[in-house]
Amino acid sequence: MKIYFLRLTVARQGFILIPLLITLLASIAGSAAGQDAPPPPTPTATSSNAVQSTTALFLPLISTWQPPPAPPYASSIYIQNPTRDALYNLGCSQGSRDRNLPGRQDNLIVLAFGKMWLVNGEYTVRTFSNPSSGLRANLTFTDLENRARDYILGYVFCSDGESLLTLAIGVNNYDDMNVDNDVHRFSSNQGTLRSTAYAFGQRFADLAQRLNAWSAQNGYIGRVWTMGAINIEWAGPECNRDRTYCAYWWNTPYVTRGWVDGFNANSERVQTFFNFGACVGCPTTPNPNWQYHTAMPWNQAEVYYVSWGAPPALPLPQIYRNDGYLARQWQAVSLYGDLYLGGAISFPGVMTQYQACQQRRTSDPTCETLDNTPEEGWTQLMNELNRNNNTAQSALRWVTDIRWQIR
Amino acid sequence: MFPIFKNKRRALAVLIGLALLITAGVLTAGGQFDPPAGDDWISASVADLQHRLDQSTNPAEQDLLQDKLNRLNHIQQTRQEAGVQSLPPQPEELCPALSQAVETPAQREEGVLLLEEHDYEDLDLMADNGWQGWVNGNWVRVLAGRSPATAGGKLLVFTENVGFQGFDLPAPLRIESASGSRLVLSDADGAAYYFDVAARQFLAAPDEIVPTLPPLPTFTPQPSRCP
Repeated sequence: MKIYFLRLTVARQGFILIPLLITLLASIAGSAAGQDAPPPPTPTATSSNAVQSTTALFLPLISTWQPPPAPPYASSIYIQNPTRDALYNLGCSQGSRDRNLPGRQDNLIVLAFGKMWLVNGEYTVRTFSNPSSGLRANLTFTDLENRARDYILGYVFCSDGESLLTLAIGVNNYDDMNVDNDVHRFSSNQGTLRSTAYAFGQRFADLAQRLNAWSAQNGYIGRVWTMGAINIEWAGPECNRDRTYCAYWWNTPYVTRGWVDGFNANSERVQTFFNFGACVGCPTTPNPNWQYHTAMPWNQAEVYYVSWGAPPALPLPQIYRNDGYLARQWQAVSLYGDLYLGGAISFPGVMTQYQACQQRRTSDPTCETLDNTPEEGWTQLMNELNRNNNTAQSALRWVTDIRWQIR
Repeated sequence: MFPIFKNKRRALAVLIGLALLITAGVLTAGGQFDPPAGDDWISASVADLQHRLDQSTNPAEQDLLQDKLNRLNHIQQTRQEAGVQSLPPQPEELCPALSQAVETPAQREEGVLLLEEHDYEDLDLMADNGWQGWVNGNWVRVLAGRSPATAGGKLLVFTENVGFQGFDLPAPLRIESASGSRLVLSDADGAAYYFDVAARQFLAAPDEIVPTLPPLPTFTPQPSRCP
């Protein structure tokens, strides 16, 4: 009887072995091989470096890594109707949900207000279109602060008295912030765009600081913490009706870094923000030679910086694609950081858009393949990160699913 | 003994098959999210970053991790110091007042609109102009223009308290005039198009008779939960 010694390498993330099963099957297989197995075939001519073996042993080694169950999701909102009453009710809805769930909840919620917008020199955020009226609102930072307070009040007074809320006040990097006062053209002045984005970033850090101070003064800080947020994305050019004018309408990394650096400058080494964007067109492996386009030179190093490399940055990637591709892209950014920059990323959570797709399924055909449930998005990223020891993480604590405020 | 087990190979195959089935069942069994007490995001992240910092030998990574750790520690410390206090009464002065109307009465004027705002990128529209008016008891706003995504045309019809409908068109259109709730539109070549807002559809001819949509459900405002 032959004795086989197996050396098993255990991955950091762990896997499940069935030692008794293996022992049992090994002894049976060995016995079977000794008595019934046909003689090994006569070796034929082989190349010098071929592995020669006269004995084959097949054991059903079962190895798997199963992520823990996904946490319950919270609902992030694209804001379309920014009345104070509506914001209070949104916060109250989330609080009521927590009251009705057992135990203490730990929510991450992004209120995505729209895009940065200058109106006669005043810094505002232009909300998403109200599907009921066809209007958009321009909110000053005082307006934003009041709306965030209303949401917090709605949350804490409808909640259960123990659940936690991290509230991120968000914007995106789409459009030219109206720096040229011309909505039909995208400003070509990268310097002006960057300095304007920087000033916006400063204001978002100030906003988070003021809201946290207000929460502390009013006794909510043990339950509610406020951060900034920015949806950083990019896309191909858009053209006018007769195609005489085409431009990229998302901002370059140079401009977007302005927002990030402005936030950092005013963060007082305390405030943080989330990048809740997508890594548009990114490769699924680390690639220092990749960039999206020469006119829109996003690359993995830039994505890393605005998501993790900048001190206040935290990533909240949108993982909405059903085939898991987005999770592979973000794992590659993390691995890129591990190989070339300041280490891998620690992801605090993921964002999906299942509810938004449910709301617009009939009008948005892309939703057919972009509607991961929160659990699916969370599982995809968790699995991809733990595919490699250098990007593995044991916890992915948050999942938030975004929806339209109205539809 | 069953005949199948007389052959050791078969018996082995059956055994392996059974074992695999059982193992697969065990491995795919799910559970409920049940974090230990105190395992909120901040605590989990602080522990994770501290572990990474302890392991790191890269000075750049150490600096970055320490900075992030300081920020998260600040949040955790602030929360712990505050504890879960009993909430003060809801402050009346901060309680949201009645909904602040976005529209003003002046914006309720019926007719063709010259828009000051054209950017509706979230609805895939760069608007050219619009029309608004009362249609069967509903306030309706129509925006016409082009789709940034396709460079074709687009018409959006907003019905207050109900929602919007989109119509994709081969070419961008502009609203030229209105007769009641019938709109006359034109493309860049001057060709005319007709849209009946009450029926929410384009017409083959300006005098075509089409059924009006059935009445829309009455809107019930959501009451404020703020006392």
